Amino acid sequence: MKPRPSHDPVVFVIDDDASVRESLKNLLESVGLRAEVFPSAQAFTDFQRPAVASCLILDVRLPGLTGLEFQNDLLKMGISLPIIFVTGHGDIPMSVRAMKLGAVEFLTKPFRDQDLLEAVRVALDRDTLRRKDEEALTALNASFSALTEREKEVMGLISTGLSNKQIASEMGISGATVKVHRANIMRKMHAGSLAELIRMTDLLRRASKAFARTG
Amino acid sequence: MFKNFRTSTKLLLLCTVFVGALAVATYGLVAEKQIAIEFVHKELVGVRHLAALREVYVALLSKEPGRSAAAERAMNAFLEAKSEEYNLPETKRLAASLNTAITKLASAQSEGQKFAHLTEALAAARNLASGIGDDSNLTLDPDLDSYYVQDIVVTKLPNLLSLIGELQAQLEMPSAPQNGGSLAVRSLVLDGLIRSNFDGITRSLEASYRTASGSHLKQALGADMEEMVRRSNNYLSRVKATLDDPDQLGSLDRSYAPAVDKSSEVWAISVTELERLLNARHSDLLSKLWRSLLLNGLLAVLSIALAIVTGRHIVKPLLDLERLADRVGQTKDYNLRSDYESGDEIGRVAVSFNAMLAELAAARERETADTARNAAMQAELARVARITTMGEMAASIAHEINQPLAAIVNNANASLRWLAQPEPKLDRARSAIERVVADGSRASDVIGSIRALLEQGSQERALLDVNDIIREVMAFARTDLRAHGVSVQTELAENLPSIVGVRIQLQQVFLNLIANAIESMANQDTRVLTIRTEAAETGIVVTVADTGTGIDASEIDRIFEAFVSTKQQGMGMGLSICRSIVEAHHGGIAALQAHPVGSVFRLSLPGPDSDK
Repeated sequence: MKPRPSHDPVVFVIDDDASVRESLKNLLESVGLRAEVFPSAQAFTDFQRPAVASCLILDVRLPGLTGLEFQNDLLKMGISLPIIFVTGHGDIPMSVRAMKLGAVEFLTKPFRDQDLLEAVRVALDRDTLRRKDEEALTALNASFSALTEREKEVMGLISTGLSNKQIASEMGISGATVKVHRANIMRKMHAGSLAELIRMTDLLRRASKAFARTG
Repeated sequence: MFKNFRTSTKLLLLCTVFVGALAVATYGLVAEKQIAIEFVHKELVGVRHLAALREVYVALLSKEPGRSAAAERAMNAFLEAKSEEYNLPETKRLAASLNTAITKLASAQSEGQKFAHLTEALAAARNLASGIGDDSNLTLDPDLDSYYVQDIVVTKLPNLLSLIGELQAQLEMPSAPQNGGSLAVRSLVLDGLIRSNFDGITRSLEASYRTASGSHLKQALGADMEEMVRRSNNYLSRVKATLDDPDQLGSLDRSYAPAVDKSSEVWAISVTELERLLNARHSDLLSKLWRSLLLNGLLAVLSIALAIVTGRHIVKPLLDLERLADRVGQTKDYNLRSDYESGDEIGRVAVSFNAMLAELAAARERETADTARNAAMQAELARVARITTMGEMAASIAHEINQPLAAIVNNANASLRWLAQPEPKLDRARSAIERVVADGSRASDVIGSIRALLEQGSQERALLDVNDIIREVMAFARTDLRAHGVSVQTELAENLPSIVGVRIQLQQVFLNLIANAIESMANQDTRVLTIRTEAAETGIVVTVADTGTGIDASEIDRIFEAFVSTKQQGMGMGLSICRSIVEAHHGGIAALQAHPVGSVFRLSLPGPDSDK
């Protein structure tokens, strides 16, 4: 069912210089990493990216626009790939800006291979983690959407720390009914404890807020 | 037309007109004086005639025996003395009749004939006297002094002598046939006439005393005139006595001669006085004439001298000023000054002219200082710009070398890793090393081209192919252009003539223009840079066109000035330096608005033939 047969992480490279581009691909492959290289930002955005852990090695100088501008564009598109910048002549203000926007590393050509590979490792770990969080949240969302409206309401009140009795009086229903709802919620959300449920609610709230912000 | 005459000509005209007017006035004056002098001349002729006529009277009235012959002699003398210079018709006629009467008198035999011819001669003599007066203008005398004297000489004295002569003749020749009553009656009539004549003489004399020369006349004439009247009265009283007693004739004769003698003497004195007066008037007229002529002559000379002096004071300083202005124009020496000094308008013009020259000299000094300062600033700007451009070039070179170096390092590392694997991937390692070799060559090429550039980068003027320069510059700018997404179109003409120039300077011009184009296109959707070369009549033309924001029409004339920038962060030096360089190559650069968007820079550079 997956679009790509492999679950191996992918390293994307955008560099307009063919030698540099190919040398990076070669270097990455020599340590067993899968690499996809592109001559321009446009070629990269046109590419159907696999849903695996990945990162982007980006030349600061790009045909048509700067790497920093492209970094901004990606954030706007909601693509949160970890980025490693490489540049022929980096300067401090440029690197500060890049790091503030969430770049993993800012390397000046020619760079030591350990530095690049280390940065790639960090980036992929970060992306793996992000993907796990994303997957968990997706699962949580799926569970949450399985709740009835009434159950969602009860779950919200539980997360604020109210007792069953207080919830019953708040909603104008009996304590027994609140207990039934509560049991259903715990089952549907695969929550082992009340503390876990509360953390789930918290995650969901933050995600929805983030969604509202990006939307 | 008058306006275009030279000032000296104008002054000459003015002077000529003045002197002409003076000459006309002088001519009128001279003519008038000439008429008056002529008048006096004629009067003097009359006076001479009257003097001669007196001799005739003296002879006629003499008691001497040969008086007829004496009269004839005196008459001949009169006729001979008669001036021929004037036409005196009346005098001529009357003198002829007197002559006839005297001739007849001389040949008279009887007492009756003698008496008749004597009275005829006396009447003719009296008529001749008044005729002379008429002919010689004496009776028209315009001067009061001489008018009364001439009246005495012309009318009164001849009349007196004629009357006395006639009276004496009557008494001497009583037997002669006479008409007009008895001797006593006729004597009485003559007596009355003589006395009334005395009154006339006295009146005229007194009138003459009141004139300007009256005192002189009184002194000259007064005593003799009184003596004459006294003797004549004595004679008249003797005449009465003789009429009462004919024996008294002897005493009559004794009183007759003194009376006649005194009268003729008075005549002589009067004539002398008259002549003196006329001569005085004549010399007075002449001296007045000469004085007027002298005065007018002096005025004419003075006016001419004044015109010359004025001309010198107007024309000469003006000419000097003109020459000075010419010299200043030719030598550009603004320290020259006019040394003309005067309080008049020209003096003030000279002062203003000097002030203007001083102002010009000061302005020129300021201008020179400004030019020097500008030149120094331009040189400094050019130096800064060259360093800036070299800095940019260095960055570009670094990037060009860095790229293959980075690839080499990556590939070398990769091959090490391929080889370090438990099962070394030799083919991958080989292909990576092959890439290392290729990239190494590429880096070497870049360094080679830099060396070539540095070798060519002297400041010496050489014969250059502009197409080559553009290709070299494009090689440097390629990365920058690509980074900014600019597509480049070059249309380089084949068989382009060479130009003489400094390679590195022209490279700088094109680098500046390209940098300019890149910046102006930064926010445009379409970014196209077109560089075209073509041969022109006098050399070559290069156009650099972009599709950027273009140049505002109001800026297009100032855009090549230093510190004028259409960019927000430009120093405004690039284009100024471009122009300096192009102009140092005897070429020109112009900015134009392109259609539909962008700007065009058009460079013209002369070929080697037109290089100066």
